[in-house]
Amino acid sequence: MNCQEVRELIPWYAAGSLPPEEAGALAGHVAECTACRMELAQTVRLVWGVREAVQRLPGVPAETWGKVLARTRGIPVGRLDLGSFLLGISVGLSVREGRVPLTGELRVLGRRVPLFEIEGGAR
Amino acid sequence: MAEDRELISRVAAGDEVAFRQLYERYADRVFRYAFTLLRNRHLAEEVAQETMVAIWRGAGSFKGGSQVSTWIFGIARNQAHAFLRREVRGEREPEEPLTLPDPAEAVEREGRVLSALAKLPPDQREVVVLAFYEGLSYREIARLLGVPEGTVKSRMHLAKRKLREALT
Repeated sequence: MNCQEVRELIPWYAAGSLPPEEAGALAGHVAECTACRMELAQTVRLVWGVREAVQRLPGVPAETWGKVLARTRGIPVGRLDLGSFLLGISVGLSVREGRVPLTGELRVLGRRVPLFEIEGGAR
Repeated sequence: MAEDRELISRVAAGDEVAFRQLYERYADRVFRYAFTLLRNRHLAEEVAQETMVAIWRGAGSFKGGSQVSTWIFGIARNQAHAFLRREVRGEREPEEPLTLPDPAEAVEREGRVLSALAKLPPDQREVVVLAFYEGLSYREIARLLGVPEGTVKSRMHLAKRKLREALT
């Protein structure tokens, strides 16, 4: 691997996403090449600078989950739970994008397994 | 903690708990990726929302030929670029500066990094964010963007030079 090839790959090495075989060759070159070693050090600083700056940007608004849920699972309007926490069945009615699907779920140890969806069930 | 692939297969089976976990894992990242591309919070929120809905509806079609993150960012990218195409037609909402939410918290260097990022052409900015923030390999980015690996490396080379100039 020559200096030009190494310079092309340094950003991904610095970000930790270079495949092992290329990372090994690059590390071998950098150990012997002062100029590429300096380039790597500068790029590592840049990677961390970008990572920390983007991480500080605001995240998704809190209300987005509710909007996503309304469009996927729907807004629940009624629910009937039978059985216990260990084993039970739930039947629910919800409003989703102008439709009112009836869904049934099996509850096993608190985990829900979808059984059926009637009317507008195509996902 | 469940692996992404396990969560996707549970989402495909209609598991809402898995969907919530996937949302917690990716919604902020997708929002920030879209925000750095579009520089508009309202549109970035729409991208995040559409992406999560598409994951719910399309989890069953995930074939496992790529990382889950690459698949998800591919969906987000399609949504974001639909907005960018509107910009070409003059239908887009105005851009906001890439700034930190609370100026009191704005560490000077991070503010300068965001400002330098904002000045990059979108195709270079996208490669930098995907590589440095998301940690995607150049192969994954090339696949995501549908361009040759050499193009990804070239965009990175140009972006890095500009960022370095802006930050020194």
